[in-house]
Amino acid sequence: MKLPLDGAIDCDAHMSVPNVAALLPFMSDYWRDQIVNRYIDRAGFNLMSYPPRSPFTVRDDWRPTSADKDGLDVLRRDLLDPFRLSTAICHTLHGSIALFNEDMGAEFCKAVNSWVARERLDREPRLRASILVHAQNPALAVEEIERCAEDPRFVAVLLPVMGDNPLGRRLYWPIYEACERHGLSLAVHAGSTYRHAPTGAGWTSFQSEDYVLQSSAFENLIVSFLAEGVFQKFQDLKLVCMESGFTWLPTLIWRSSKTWRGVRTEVPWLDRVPSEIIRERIRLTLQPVDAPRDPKILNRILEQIASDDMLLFSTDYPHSQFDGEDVLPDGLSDELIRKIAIDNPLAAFPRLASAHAGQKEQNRQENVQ
Amino acid sequence: MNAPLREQKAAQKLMIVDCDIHPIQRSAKDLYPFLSKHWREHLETFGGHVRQGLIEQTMWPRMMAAGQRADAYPAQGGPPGSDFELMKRQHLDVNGVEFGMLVALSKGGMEERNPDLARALSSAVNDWQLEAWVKRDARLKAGIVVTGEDPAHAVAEIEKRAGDPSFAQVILSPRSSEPLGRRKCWPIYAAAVRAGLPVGLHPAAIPGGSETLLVVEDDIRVRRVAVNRLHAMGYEVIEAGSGAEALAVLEARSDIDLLFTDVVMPGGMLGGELAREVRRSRPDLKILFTSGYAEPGIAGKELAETGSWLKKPYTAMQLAVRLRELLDPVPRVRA
Repeated sequence: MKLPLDGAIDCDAHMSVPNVAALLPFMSDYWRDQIVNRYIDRAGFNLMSYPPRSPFTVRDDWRPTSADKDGLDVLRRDLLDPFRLSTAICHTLHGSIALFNEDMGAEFCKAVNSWVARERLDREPRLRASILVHAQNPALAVEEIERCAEDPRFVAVLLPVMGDNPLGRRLYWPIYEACERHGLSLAVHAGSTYRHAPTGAGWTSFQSEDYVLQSSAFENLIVSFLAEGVFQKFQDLKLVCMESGFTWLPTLIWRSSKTWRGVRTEVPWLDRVPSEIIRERIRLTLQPVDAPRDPKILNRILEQIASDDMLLFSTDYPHSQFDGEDVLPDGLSDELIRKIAIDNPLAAFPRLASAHAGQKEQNRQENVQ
Repeated sequence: MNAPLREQKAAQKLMIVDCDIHPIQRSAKDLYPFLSKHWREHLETFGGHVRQGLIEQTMWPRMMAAGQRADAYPAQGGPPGSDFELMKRQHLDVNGVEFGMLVALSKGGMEERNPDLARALSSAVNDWQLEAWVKRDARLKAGIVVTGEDPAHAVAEIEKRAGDPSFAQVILSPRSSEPLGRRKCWPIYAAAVRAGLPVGLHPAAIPGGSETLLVVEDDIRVRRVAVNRLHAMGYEVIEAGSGAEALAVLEARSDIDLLFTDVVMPGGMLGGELAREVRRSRPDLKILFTSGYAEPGIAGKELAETGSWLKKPYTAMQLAVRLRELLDPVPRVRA
């Protein structure tokens, strides 16, 4: 069904940098020379997880034509206006996060974030963004978070769900510490840098196979965060799973809780049953909705998840997850829709509220002057 | 060494066998004549699927000019190693290459994860080496590109090519998902031994890029339809509403592979005049004319010499076929 209300907050939409040339003005002289002289600017930077011409990556009627000169106009026309959004949190899954050269990767991330601020956030007040970082070197990632954190329109830090190591590992903790320090949420998005095969048993054959397997990567993420004690160490950190699906969640809640009861002495810092921690600390975006269309089945799953706080509205624009404007599955109560569309996103991204407040304050001061 | 032999040697030009020459497709479309419709459409829609995080770039971007000699980039576009005449002039002739062993790294399916696509690409790239390279120059020797992931197909491919002296070795990527010493790969080596061919190992690289078309059409609705179709076929498309606009685009960009222009347009410049202008700066640019008039003579001499003509209204398929005819010239066999 369509959104029945105005002012929803889209927690997972995508924007893309048109080409490498657009990033060059935001790079140092050294890197600008490197990128141009090495011809790195002559090819695209798409992740293998999102082949650009695939009918899944861009919905047919959302595919820009060459008449669409300005990507922001397209975003307004296809996303912000028709869904009557108050805010869209956009994530730029730039391929540079997969580079092995972490200095080059960090410079690309810096340029992408600067481009996002200048070319998108400055021009459209409804947009918010996540900070792209190259997680292979957490120290460089923290530097970039510190650089961007001053800008309240950055509301999260973005990581791909499949990278070098399980994300709960302590080597990544400086990133989470920086998130907590600045009130940034941690947005972990579907996608792989393909440092490893997407399954524990080796390499798969097909693109569709890899996409289905994303949900198991999110299970790995949550188990890793629980086992390593990330939630105990960082009491204020908010973890948002983006484009993860959510219908698999009940079995993970049950299985992690049951296992914890049996062998929790191995991970003594895990001082509460995982089901409680998951419901309190983890949020998931709505699309893709994997449940069958029958509302009875969907509501059964929601009962099993047993929390109205966990789902966050998302379109996953421009990925092809639903037809027309029917972004909501049928059978959700009005009260739940309101929570999913507005209240839960505001709670999951604390910076949204402060940015809203900051904007109001700025307006007030302008009025006073 | 005795003096007479040394003198005799000095009088001869020392010829070389270059064991590692890389021919490459201008884009995946060069392989289309050797692929079924199914795989052509698959490549247009999904592209390849290999074991790395990026599509168009290598994971370790190379140094200057993407690790290629800057003067090896063909003037008309495409990656180094994609232009036979340039390779001949720049390397084969001047360096006294008696034999050149082709190692076709790109798009040969060596590291493709979709097993059926890997098979199709392996066969296609071997056919392509014959047609686009070996038939043009007998000094060049093809290498049978096979995938280590699929020994059964590798063996079949080696056996298919074994009697053909155009092939001089078997090419495998050492970046296989399991070590190549595993027994599952032994049938490949047995087939190579039977065929009397050595096995060459070379890591495969993932290049990017596809052709860019400039569409010139004054009627915005007609242009929109053409542009949408061309996008759907996977081309990069630049639009222009008049001849003057098109010339400005061509002046600003060197990466246009083909000009697709209406013959009759308002604004002072007809398609034929545009083509003549263009020829002055870009003599090799492919040109496809289109017109609602039955008589293509309006484009004049230019059309007769180098262009191709498509009558409006045309179907998407007619357009697709004509573009490939222009962009994939059939290599001529040399006597």
